[in-house]
Amino acid sequence: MKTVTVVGSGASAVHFAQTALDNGWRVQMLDVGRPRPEPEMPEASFLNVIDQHDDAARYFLGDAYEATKMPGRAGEYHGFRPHRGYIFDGVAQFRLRAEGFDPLQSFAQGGLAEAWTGGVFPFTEAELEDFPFGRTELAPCYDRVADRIGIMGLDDDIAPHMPVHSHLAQPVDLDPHSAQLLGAYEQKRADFHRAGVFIGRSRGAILRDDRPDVGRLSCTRLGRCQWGCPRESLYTPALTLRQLLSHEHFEYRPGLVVTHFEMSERGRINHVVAVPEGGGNKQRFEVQRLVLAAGTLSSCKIYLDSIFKHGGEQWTLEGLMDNRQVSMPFINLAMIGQPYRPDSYQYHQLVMGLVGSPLKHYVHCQITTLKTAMIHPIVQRMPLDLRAGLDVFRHLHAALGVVDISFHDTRRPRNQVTIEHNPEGGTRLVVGYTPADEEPETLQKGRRRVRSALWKLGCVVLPWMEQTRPMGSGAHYAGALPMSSAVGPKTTSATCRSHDFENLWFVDGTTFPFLPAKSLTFTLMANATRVAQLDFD
Amino acid sequence: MTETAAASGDSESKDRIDGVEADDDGFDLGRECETLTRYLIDQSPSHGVRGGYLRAHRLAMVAPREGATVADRATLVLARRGGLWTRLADVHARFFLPDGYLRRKLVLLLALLETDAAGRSRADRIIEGGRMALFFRILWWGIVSAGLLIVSVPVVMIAKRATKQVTERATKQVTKRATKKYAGRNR
Repeated sequence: MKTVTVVGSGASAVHFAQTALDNGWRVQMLDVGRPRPEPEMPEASFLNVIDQHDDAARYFLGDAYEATKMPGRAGEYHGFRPHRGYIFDGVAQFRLRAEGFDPLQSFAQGGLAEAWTGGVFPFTEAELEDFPFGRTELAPCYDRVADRIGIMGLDDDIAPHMPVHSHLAQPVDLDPHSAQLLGAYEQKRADFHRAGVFIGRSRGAILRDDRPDVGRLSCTRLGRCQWGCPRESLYTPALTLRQLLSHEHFEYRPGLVVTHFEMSERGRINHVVAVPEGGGNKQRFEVQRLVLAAGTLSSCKIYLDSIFKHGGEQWTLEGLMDNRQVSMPFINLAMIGQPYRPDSYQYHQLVMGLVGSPLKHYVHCQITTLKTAMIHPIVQRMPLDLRAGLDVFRHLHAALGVVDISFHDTRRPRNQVTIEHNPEGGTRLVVGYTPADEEPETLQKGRRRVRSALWKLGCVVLPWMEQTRPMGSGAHYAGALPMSSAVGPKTTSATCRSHDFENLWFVDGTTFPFLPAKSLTFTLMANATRVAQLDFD
Repeated sequence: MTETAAASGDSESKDRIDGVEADDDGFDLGRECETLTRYLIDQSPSHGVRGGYLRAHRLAMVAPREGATVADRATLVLARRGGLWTRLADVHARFFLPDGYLRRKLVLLLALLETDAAGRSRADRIIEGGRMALFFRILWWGIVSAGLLIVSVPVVMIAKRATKQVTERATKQVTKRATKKYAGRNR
């Protein structure tokens, strides 16, 4: 039976594997695969957990209260939630040095998407301009993934910039604040459109109906999304992995760190080498076809280490990309003194698109209104003592929100991934990133447009609370080995097949030749499905 | 840390004096939790919040990494008096010691309160009223805070001086006792 070996279990890996299995392939998945903990109190809402949990402080703040946002820790308004720390724990065998880049890594089952906010945004034709295929080829794959995972959304004003696909379920009810914002937008629609601003319902990988066949329940607005959806309404790749485990031709080998592959002199990969995460002897797995889906940085490390071990060459891959992100908190004047609804979907319910020229430089904004949340990170930032800050916050809770603005990125030679000798032994990945020269202007222009749009919506921005997040925090890494119609070294074909090794594919973001502003996760899943459909039929 | 606590060497008991959990300067943490909670939400902390507060101190996640400065100690001494003193200390810390010990204690306490049913219902209760109500509220707090901030500067200076003197005296006493003990052993 034809066998493919897949490294990783993230968004692209599991959808590639699912499709290959559907096509009659046997799939062997090698993964570090830290398991996710079981959800606690799956029927309890946010407030019920506070009321009824034995130790709600530990649930929300962690065993050692490590998720408390203490003064002096600048940056995000929230930390990584407890019981999600496992997503970001490293492994001893993966070492990295970065300049100008602050990367996240995951060795968990499901990968980095285990911590996502569920935003699923298909690329437009313009955004696929640099890819060696168009929307026609990708559209059915978006449909297929949507059917698998469950997506909610509408065909509304944002649809021209976020194509509609099949299997789009009716979204959850808007929370009052988001409803107010949408209403304000609709009253001035023409004005917004003249300014190239479009607002609509966000697209989320949320189930609206129970799916007992896969053990997932529909969203009932418990308000606990940030702590991991206990009903599994919010899709994460580990849920697909769970399904795959019951497939007779799927073999899952967790606890392994793949270090490199071995090749013949003719450039054909014949083995993959892995070591147990906790230490131990190397294990070699025979390979017919190898698919690297461990995330751009991990896949690149495996690739570079393999070339180095084989012939001593230290390659450098150019063109690493990530989305620059800016957080812009705001106060909606119309919502001051209003109650908030705790039984709400916590994440973004609205998106705002800033359209300009060229179209592929679309700026993507997710509008998240404050519902249930930890309030201490916000209150402590007010220019008041804590008691007064708390008092003011009580007026403002329902009026607060944040716009997360995301910008596109392009491949540039200065942004590189390579390896070097690690003083502690072995090699380590070296990542260097320099923003584009025009980035300050791009960011300034984008911020100005967002502030203007918020003002039109009746919202004020607090400039001292804006944050430009460090490069790498977007976690949308891509571009190191781009797809290309032209055959050449350090590139892949239109089906993500390596031009350097005949039986090697990359199905994660490594091969993307351009990075639009939107989250690429949905496109990763669709592309992985596409690759499996075309090359693993 | 008291001499008793230092001598015990037991991490669980090292902050206990006479059965009461104490901060590293000997102050009763339970009493401190009560005072600071009343400051924040005008009610006593629940058993769970009090327990969490003590636990957090035991886990050593509250004190600043570099240790508490004299200014930290001074603002804490003021804050522990309760009432307007706590507010004055908090205003001062907000602007002059934003990452200091007092602020860290208060933020931790707020985090514990918002994960406690009784605490949350007070900390996050909605105050209705539109923009004008908020405007006047901010104006009021701004005026009060500005006044307290001005007053806090000389008050904290005096407290710092007093704290320094007390610390120096305590250090001398501990050293004297330790020297006596050592001399006694060597006879």
